[in-house]
Order: sequence, then C-alpha cells, then structure tokens
Amino acid sequence: MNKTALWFIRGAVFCALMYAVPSMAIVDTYCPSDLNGDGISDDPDVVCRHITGGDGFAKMADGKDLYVFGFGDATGVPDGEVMMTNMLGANTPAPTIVVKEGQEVYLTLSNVGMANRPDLFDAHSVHWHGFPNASVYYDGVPDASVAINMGASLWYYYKAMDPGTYMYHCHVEVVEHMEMGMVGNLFVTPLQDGTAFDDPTDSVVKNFTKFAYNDGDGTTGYDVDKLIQLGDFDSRFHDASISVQPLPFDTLDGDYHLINGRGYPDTINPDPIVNVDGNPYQPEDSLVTVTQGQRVLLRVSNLSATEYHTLRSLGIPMKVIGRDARILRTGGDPAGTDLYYYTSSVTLGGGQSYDVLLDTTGVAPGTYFLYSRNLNDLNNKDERRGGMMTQIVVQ
Amino acid sequence: MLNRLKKKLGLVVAMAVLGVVMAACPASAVIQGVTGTAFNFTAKPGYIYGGDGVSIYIWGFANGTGVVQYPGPTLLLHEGDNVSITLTNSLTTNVSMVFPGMSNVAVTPGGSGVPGIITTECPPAGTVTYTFTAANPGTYYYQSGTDPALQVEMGLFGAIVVYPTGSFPASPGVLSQPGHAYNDTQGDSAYDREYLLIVSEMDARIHRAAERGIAPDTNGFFSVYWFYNGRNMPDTMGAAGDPMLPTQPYNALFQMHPGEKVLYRIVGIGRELHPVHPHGNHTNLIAQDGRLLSSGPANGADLRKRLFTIPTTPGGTYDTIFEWTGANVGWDIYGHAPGDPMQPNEFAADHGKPFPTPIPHQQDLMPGQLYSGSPFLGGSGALPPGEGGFNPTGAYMHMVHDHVEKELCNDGIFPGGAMTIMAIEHPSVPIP
Amino acid sequence: MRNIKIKCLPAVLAALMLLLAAGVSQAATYNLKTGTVTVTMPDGKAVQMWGYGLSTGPITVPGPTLNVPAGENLTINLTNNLPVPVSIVVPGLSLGSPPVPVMDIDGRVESFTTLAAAAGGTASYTFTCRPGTFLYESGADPALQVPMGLYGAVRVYPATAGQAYDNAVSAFDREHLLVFSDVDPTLNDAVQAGTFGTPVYPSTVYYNPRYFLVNGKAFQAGDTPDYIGTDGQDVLLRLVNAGSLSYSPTLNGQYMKSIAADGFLLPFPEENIAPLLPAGSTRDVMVVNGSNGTGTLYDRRLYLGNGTARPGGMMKQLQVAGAMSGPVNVSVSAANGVSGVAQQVEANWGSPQGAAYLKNMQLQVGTGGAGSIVKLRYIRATNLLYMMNDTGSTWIGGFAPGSANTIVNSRATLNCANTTVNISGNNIRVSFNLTPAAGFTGNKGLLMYVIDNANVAVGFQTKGTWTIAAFINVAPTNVSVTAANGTAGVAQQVSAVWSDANGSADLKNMQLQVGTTATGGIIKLRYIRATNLLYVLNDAGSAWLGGFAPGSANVISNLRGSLNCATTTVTPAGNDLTVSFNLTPAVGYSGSKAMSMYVQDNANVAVGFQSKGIWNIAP
Repeated sequence: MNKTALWFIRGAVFCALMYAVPSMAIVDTYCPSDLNGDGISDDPDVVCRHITGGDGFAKMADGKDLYVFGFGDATGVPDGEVMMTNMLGANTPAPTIVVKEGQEVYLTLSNVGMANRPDLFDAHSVHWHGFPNASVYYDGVPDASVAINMGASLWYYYKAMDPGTYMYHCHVEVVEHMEMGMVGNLFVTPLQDGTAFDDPTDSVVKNFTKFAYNDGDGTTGYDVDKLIQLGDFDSRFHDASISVQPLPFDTLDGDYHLINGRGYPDTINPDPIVNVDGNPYQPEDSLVTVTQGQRVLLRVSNLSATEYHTLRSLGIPMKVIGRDARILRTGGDPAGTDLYYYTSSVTLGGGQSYDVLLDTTGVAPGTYFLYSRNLNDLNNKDERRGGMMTQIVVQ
Repeated sequence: MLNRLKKKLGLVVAMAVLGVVMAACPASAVIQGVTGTAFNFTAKPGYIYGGDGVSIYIWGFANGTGVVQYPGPTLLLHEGDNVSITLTNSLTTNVSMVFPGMSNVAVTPGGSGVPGIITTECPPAGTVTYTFTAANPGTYYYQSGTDPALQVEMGLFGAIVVYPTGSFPASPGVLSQPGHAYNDTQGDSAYDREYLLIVSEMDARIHRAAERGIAPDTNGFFSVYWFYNGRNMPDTMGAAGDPMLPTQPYNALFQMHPGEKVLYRIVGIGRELHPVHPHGNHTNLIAQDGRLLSSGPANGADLRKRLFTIPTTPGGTYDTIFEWTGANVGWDIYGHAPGDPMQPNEFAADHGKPFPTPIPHQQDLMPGQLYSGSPFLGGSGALPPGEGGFNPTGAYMHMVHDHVEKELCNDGIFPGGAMTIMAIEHPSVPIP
Repeated sequence: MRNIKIKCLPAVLAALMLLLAAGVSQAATYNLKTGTVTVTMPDGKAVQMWGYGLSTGPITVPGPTLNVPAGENLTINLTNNLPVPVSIVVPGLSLGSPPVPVMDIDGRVESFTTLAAAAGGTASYTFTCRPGTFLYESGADPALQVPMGLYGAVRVYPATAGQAYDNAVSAFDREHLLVFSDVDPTLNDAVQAGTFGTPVYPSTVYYNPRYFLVNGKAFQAGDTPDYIGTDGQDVLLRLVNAGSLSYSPTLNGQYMKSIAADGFLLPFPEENIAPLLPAGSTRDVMVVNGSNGTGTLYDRRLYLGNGTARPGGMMKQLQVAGAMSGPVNVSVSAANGVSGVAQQVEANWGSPQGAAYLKNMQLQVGTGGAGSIVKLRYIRATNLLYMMNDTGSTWIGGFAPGSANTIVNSRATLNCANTTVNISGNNIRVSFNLTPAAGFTGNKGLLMYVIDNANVAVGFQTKGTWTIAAFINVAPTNVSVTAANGTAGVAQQVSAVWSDANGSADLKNMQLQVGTTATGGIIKLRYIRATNLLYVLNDAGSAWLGGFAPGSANVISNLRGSLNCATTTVTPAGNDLTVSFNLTPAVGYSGSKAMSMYVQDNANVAVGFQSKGIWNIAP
C-alpha cells in the first residue's frame, strides 16, 4: 500500500487506540541512568533499550510480501512519537541486543498494536531465553506473570551475568507470535574482552582481544562475529493471519527457510532488505567476509517454531566452543575440561544456540558456503536455489 | 473476531482448569510406577483423552488385568535386579517388548513366542516371558519390538528407572526423596527431588486408521498431539491418577524449593526430536542413555554439559539437574528490606536490593492466571477482578516446554501439547 | 572407557598442507561417471535415479565406495552423462585451493565447485585427505541432485592398520559401512517426465520421502543379513547419512560407542542407544558383537515402511557367526495351482556379500528322476532364464526375464514375459510364471540350489511344496444380459456377462440372441475369445458375417440390426467376461424382444441358449 494510505491508517488506528483504551495507556521509557531524557543510558555500566511489539511486512527472496509480527527498535525515539513511528515497524529478525557482562539492562517494551489486524488486541512480552535464575516477573511467560496491552509500556530489568549467545522472543500466544516473527538475539560479551590472549591450541601466534567466553586462554578468541539466526515461516499461516482466517496451527510447516530473516540470495546482500512499505526492516545479512587468517565466531541459534536444522560449513571446518550460552567445558565452567570438538555441521532445534569458530588460517581465499543440509530448506518456497544458505568470503 | 474470541476463551478455560487444580491440591509428579522383579503386563487397546477432550484410540501396556495406560507402567527397579515380565497379548496383531540398555535380555522358553524381525514376538492371545538384568542404574525405557513404526506410535512403551543401591525411594509414588542417580563418587548425580518426563507425540490419522482396521501410513507421519508423561497440557498439570483420565495416570507437574537439586529424567520415547526448555535456569546434563557423561571411572560426570535446552532424540534418555536460587538477578526476590532475615538458600549479595523497575498500571497489563499479583516469591498482590487466585502460595511458575513451538498445540488448538510448569515454592510452603 | 583426547587438529591440518605443498603425497585415483539407473522398490515402484559409477562398471546408488590408502590424497576424474551439469564435493575435505564455485546468471550458486558439463562433460577433483569416514555428493544444485541419488562414501585409512584414525580408540577387528538415504518417488518421476521446476513439482520444498534406504536398499522381509564378524569382535560401523532428514540408527538395544563424527575424532567417546545422525553427516561407532545370531539395525525415527507397506524402510539385519555364510536358498512359495493354469512361483536367494556375488540359481519342482521334475535356472551375469529339457540332458531357453519368450517341456511352460527378477541388496528374487502341464499334478516339492562367484554351492534343499490340482473343467455359465429400453434406429449398449470358474480365459465362444425366429426375426451375435473377433449371423442364418475386433472401426449389419464394433467393448475380470455390444435395432425391428445367451468353453462344454432377459424396443 502507498505511504499516504499507510499514514492515514496509522493515524486512524492510533486514535482508535487512544480513545478505546483508558487513558493510563501511555508509552513511557524507563531508564534510570538517562540524565538528559534522550532515552540513552549515561552510565557506562547500564544499557537502556526500547523495543516495540507489533506487526508489519517482510520481503521474501522470491518477492513475496509476507505479513509478520515483530519487534521494532524505538531506542532514542521520544515517547510521544513511538506509536506513530513504530506502527508496522516489525523488524525481521528483532533488533539484536549486545551488552557486556556485568552491565545492567533496562528494556522497555511498548505494544504498538496490529495496524493490519485492528480486531486483534494481543498483548506482548519478552522472554529472554537462557537467562539464568530468571525471575518469573521478568521472564515473559504471560500465564505466569504479566504481558503488556496495546498502547502501553512494560519495563524489564536484567543483569547480564554470563557471556554467551542468547535469544529473546515474545511468549504471548507463543506459537502464533513466534511463527509470525517476534524473535531476536542477544549477545553478552565477556569481561575478558580487551585483554590479549594467544590461543595455545592453534597453529599461529596471534593475540585475540575479543572472546566468546572468559576462557582464560584465548581458545574462544575471534576477530569477527556474525549473527546466524535460523528460522522458518509458513506462508499459509501468515496469509491466513492477514486475511483474518482461522490460523492453521495443525499443519504448521515452514516453506520459507531463513537466515537472519532472509532467504538466499538476500542473505548475501549487504544492504537492508526493504519491505513493501519501503522500510528497511530486514537489516541483517548473513554474508561473512573475513581476511585469510582471521577467526570468525558464528553465533548460531534456531528460533523456528516448526523445525530442526542441520547447518553445514563446506570447506572450512567448524570448531564448536560454546553451547547454550556456556563455554563448552565441563558443566559450562571455564575451569572445566575442554569439550571443544570439530565438525562439518551443527544441528539445532528451536531454543538451542551454538558458538562456532571458523579458523581461516591456511584457508585459500575464495567463496565458501554455510547452508542447511536439510536440502529441502534450499528453496524460497517454489523458487529453487534459495532458502537457508549464505556465503563466507575469505579475502 | 469470533475466532479470536473463541481462542481466547479456550485459553481462559485451559488456564482456569489448571488453576483450579493448582489451587485445590498441588500434587507434583512424584515418580509413580510398579515395583518388584516379576511383572505381568497385558498389551491391549484402549482410549486416552487429548488435551482438547478428543478421544484417541491407542494400544498400550496394562499392569496385570488393570486398565491400559499411556504411557505403560513405569518400572521402578533396584540396581542388579533380575527382572521378568510376562506379557499377554490382547491385541489382534503380534506384539513384543525390547529393553534397550538392559543386560542379559532373553526370552523364557516354553511360551508362545515366535521369531520376529527385531525380537521374539507374542502372537494374539499368547504369552511370552521376557527377562533381563537391570545391571546399571539410570533412566531407560521399554517399547514394542514389533512393527515399531506403528506400535510405538500407538503407545506401546514405558519408562524404566533403575536406582543405585541405597537410593531406592522409601515410599515410591508417594514421596520424592533425595538420592543419587548413578554410583558416582563425586556426587554429580545427587538430587533432592526427581521427576520423570516422558516425551511423545501422535499423528491422529494413524490412530483413527488403526481404530477402523485400515492400514495406516506411518511413513507419512505428521504429528498433531504432543505429550509429557502421556498427557497434553493442560492435563500435564492436573493431578496424578485423575479419575477423569483413567488411562493416563501420570502427571507432569513439578515443584521445588530454591536451592534444591531437581533431577529431570527425560525420555524421548517417540520418533521426533524435541528440544525441552525449562525456564528459569540452565540445567546440568549429567547422563545420557543410562550412562554418566564421564570420561572414565572416578572422573565423575566430567563431560557434563550446561544447557538451557535439552535436545532430546528418539530413543534417547537424558538425566539433567535443575537448580534455582534466584542468584544474581540483582534484586531481592523475596521483596525483603535490608534488615529482614535471610531465607534458606537466598543469594546474600542481592538481599534487600529493591525491585528495579516500576510496574505498569493494572489496566495496561494482561496478567496470567498463574500470576500471584506480586513479582516476589511467596508474595501476592492485587489483581483485576476475576483474575488470579490460582497461585495462592505465590510460587514462581516456570514453564517447561518443547521449544519447537508448534508442539504447544492440541490438534491445532493453542495452548496445549508439550508444556507444563515447574512451581518454585517459597521455602515455607510444604511440598508433599 | 578410554581417556584419549584429540590431538591438536589445526597443527595436523597445517602439517598435511605442508606435505601437499612439498609434493610428497600420492593420490588414490578413481574414474567415475554419472548416469541413470532404475531402482525397483520392494512394493514394486520403479524409480529412476541418478548415480555415480566406476567408468568401467554400472551406475549404483549409493555410488562406489572410494577407499584412500594411508597418506594419499583422493583424485576423482568424472565423466558426466546426465542431462544437467554435476560436480562432487566431500564435506570435511578440501573444497579446492582456491575454491571455484560456479554462479548462475542470477548470482546464485549453481555449484560449490567446478562443474562437469552435461551430456559427456568432464572434470577432475583432488581432495587433501585425513583419515576418517566421509560422504561424497554432488555439489551442483544439491537440493535436487543429492536426493536423486548422487552420493557415496569415502574411507580414508590411517597409517596404522586396523584403526580408523591412528588412535587406539578407533581400533577395530572388522569394519562395516552403512549409507542411509531417502527417496521421494514423485520427485524422480517429475524429473524423468521433465516436469520438475514446473507447477507439477516446483521445488524440493515439497520433498516428501516415501522410501528409506540402507546401502541403497529398502528393507524387505527375507533380506539376507550382512555379516559383521564373530562373537566378541570389535566392529567399526561407519555411518553415513546422505539423506535430507536426520536419522537415529539403533542396534538391538545395545550401546554404540561413537568415537568420531564428520571425520573428526570426538574429544571423548560417547555411548548411545540411538545416536543422532544428522543429514549429510558421518559417524564412526564401535559395537562389540554379541553371541552368534542376527540383530536388526533400524532407524529409531521409525521410517520403517516402503511407501505405505511395512515392514520395510531403514532397516538392515546384521549377522554374527563363526564365519560369513555362503549363498543362501532363502525361501520359495507357490499358491495352490491347477494344471494348465499359469501362476507365479516366488523364489528368493541371498548372499551376505551382495546380490552380485550370486552366480547361478536353480529351482526344482518335484522329486524323482529327470522325467518327473521341472528344473529352472537363472544365471545372473547374463540375466538369462533356462529350463531343463525332458530327458534332463541339457538346458533349453536362455531368454531374459520380461522378454516375449516361453520355454516349454512336457511338464511345464515358463513364460519369460511374465517372469521378473529383482536384484538388490543381498538378494535376488525371481518370480517365475509357470504353467504346469496337464498331468503334472500332486504335491510337488520345491527345491532350491545356489552357487556363488567363489563356487560355494548349497542345495538342492527342500524349501516348500507346490500343490497342483488336476484341471477340473467346470461348465461355463451365462450370467446375465441387460438392455435399457431402446428405440428402433437408435444405437445403445447391451451388456452381457459370461463366466467360467476355470477363469475367463477358458471361455471360447459366446453368443447373444435378440428376439426369436417366430416373432420378427433374430439378431444373433457371436464373440470368439481366442481370436478376439465379433460376428453377426446373416439374414439367412447360414453364415457369420464380420469377424472384426472390438474397438475396430467396423459395423456388421443384417436386416434386423447392426453391431458397431468401434464402440463395443470386451472386459475380462477374474472369472467373468463382459461384452458391451453397441447395437442399433433396424427401423421396423421393434417390440418386446427376448434375449438368450449361449456359451462354450475350451473343452467344448456348452450351455444354452438360455433365456436371460427382455429388450423393449420402441418403434
């Protein structure tokens, strides 16, 4: 639809929300360390982010405009403008949040409603998947705690105690909201970052200053890291959603297979993919570009609501050094025995994460491939040579 | 709009059922089963209820002349037991039993046994006695070895728990007691509480075909029901032995106190891969398939993995230990003031720290049926009229569920499926 | 349990690369080709697959196992006879230095590495090797080409004999390779028909496997087990998953100790009952043989059917015994028969060394001297069927199964056209179409003989009985005739059914009479089954007119009506034969016409004419 009509609809829905809901409903950022009111924390040990939950559109690699739900980014957006700016602002995937070990995180979640489904009054929440010793109130499971209604904001607090690769997703009507796309990743970088370690187990003398974990010896050191979020959409479900039809839960089966919300060859397009509204709401490519000799950390997770995936690296061996946001040593303890292993592929079900190192020392410059070896994933529905594939370019 | 309302109504009803159960008698899933060393099982047809109330035709094992059950009776054994199971077949097709991981598996001569592809089979109306030695402690299972693509799907399976010497529960099925799961001198398998979690699934078309005597297509398998301990949510959180579910005697409701070590014995007894995700904390996977994750004797579980999602596989068992103290959340989970006394296992560094964020106005929140109204453990607070009341002890209700999200449905109806709750109770709340 | 850790692998890899640079490695070289091969699944479905083969041998699925001796690299010279370009990749080994992927016109990868062009193109691939178990598969359009059958296994051997990885944890007494894969026959059919990539089957997002294979074979009851060694031996199972799904092989409920995956030693071995084998991965597991007997390895994801039939699918039996058995006369069965009537006799021969190891198979029907038996022979290498002559002095025939030939002696006829031979896995199953001659009756023993390529022979062994009854001729019957009310001058179908308990092939001569001579004359129709010809009696009643086949463009007329052969059909079904005559009563031939039927069988037993109905013809 054209932009004028879009703004008209947004305005109409906004007004409807404002008048339909009691006047408590208000978007409000909570960031106690924000001293100048711009929504950004002024304390280096505190991170404030503001995300919104709502609907929108994503462009599949075969050109299909798919109706989605998603989180958008409203960090720094003035409270009074969030509803208008972020309506139809679903990002696919959700904005990646990166914090440092030890930082406190204040996350504001505002529910901007579903512009394309004014009949829906779904609440939203954030479940920070893998966060240890999570309290129920901040865990985001609506049956056991709270979720936020349209037009209002909910405030989450997390203390990022353990480095690793985590996920977050909405847990309200979780099958529907996850399938529709309310999924994202969160990385916690370790305190060890900034100190120099030469990995004694590899074949070169080289200092790393970025690590996946506090390994104490550089074995999880990397030069470049990359988000690799595996996911699927069942287009019949999304089409039924926008057509206000009963949702086919019992036949859920992905037909678009995605890395970071895109199908190949969009996965290797370094520019954001623009959706039917003209908005760059698929910002994450999965093209890995490295210089020979560098080590790449692939932060792999599976947020599909329907299937497992086996992700293969062709030409460059994978070294698994972390699983489920814990270093791959006995009991996830940096003091434990190394359980690192080499492989050509990692297999993930929903809710799993793997930290995989690709060492390009001695790897001939050229183009290598990272793809799902569940070969039927290599399609954008009816379009061949697509789907869950990306490229690793060694220069 | 109507569909939306219906769905929300379904959600409300499901939660209400759950809540009533929880409020009335929070009976957690103490491992129930049969004890002894000589058992009589009957393979017979029957029906179970999906979480949507639909009747589903099954084939299962019954204990003696009792009612068929799904899953079959859990065997509770002592390390070293020599076990015999006499199987009588009341189905119209051959059936059998296999015992992966057990030692000295044999068939007693003189029965009705006929050779099958995988094992000796029992023809209809026949009797076969299988024997084995439960040589090693751990979590195991049994299943039919006849036409498993159909018979495992239909429900012919059950769990086996072998306790190390000295760890057998004093009151099996009644009280969960502390113990250890393996003979590991380093104590990695020690637990305060143990729960069994059997994960399975069903393709309803296969059951309907079997019910009508039509050949089912097991290669075309596509599941629509998912089960924890033989029930779909919300029944997973109902009471054990619920008379409304006479053929599904086991429940999957878990409870604990902060600081306890809870052993989940997870059995992937179906044919699908299921990633089991307990909310609240990582778990320590200490053993798989009845083998401690150890690189050698006296090394303890030195190959244990710390996971937030346990990727169960078909025919695999997983022993994993869950602990929760609320440590390092950065605020006092009890809502204490700094001078208040500490609770057992409370994380001292967070004691007295204030709750870090405001709470939105009640009308902006959608509270869960299991929300106590307060973010604090053991607390309660005001809720909108008609909401809540289902968590009178103010427990932290952490969901445990399959993370292939579509498995949280009952034949297309959300919520349902492979989902249950671990209720973390305030230390003052007794857990039966 | 051994407590051995992996050595510093990157150092090992780097060392290998240095070795390569120094040019000291030799290469194991394989000349391979690609092509099509038809694989018949146990439920009879014939699937055309793509596969690799040695340039001097047949196309197989999986392709030939490539064995690389210690310290060598692997070179493959590929000739591609398929209509699409192909390539080869070995995940875990080098992708080319530098890699040379081929991108298509849209910038999408068409092949991960160099292509061998369609229809005769060639390409060479060299892989730097390290010890282990690997999968090779097409790197071109893998979503299509791999499920079509372009895959196989690679075994690279370490310096130390009897190990898989130059590490004591991988020491074995015996090794066995198991390649798992899946087939969606609808995909293969679409590719064969040229409809893949069209709305009939747009892409493999619709991939729906129905057959599940172990070493290219879906399980069938009666499959001869593979031999995996003696009681107590340590056996290395090299598991390779060339399929598109994960599988979980399990064996007898015994523990399988994984020591390596994807050609990399695991840091510590893992014991599992049903280890997960993801798509495209390999796993080396050690099992210890139990006591003598047969165990079943099967997929615990339970893909254990052939299409909709079970047992089948991803199952393989493995036998522990003091020695590998020679060839086996597995089974033979024949339903009760009747002399003079053809039927199938099913025989199954097997060899643990594979069906290609069977040389000469014989089936004997009956016992006693040469004059009282029927002896049949199949030679695998030439694919020819024979029958022993009457005196037992020589084999006669020598025709291929499916060819339009019969081999006859005084006691039986073998119809080669309806005789099928299925060669797959470890077994050759022959379904002989045999007709016992008149007089060859009674309870005939079925005896089997087999000899393999090493000239190890077994038999003759009695494996069954065929009860052949004397042919008892039963009189044929005139079942029914129906004709809707008609109008003179208007064509309509008149349907007559005849039957014979000896089978509709015993019907010889069938006649239908409309009307009576007394009341306006008759239309008399005749059908002769053996010649498949239709006739109408002439006006004078002295001769038959016509003699045309049903469906042919002919009309046979007399004064009272005409028969249109083009729209007349003859349908045999079991014991019945239905003739639907397209009759036009002549203008003026009207009234209530009685219909009567006559039938005569091959023994000239006749019944009729019997009155069987009325046809009301309006003027």
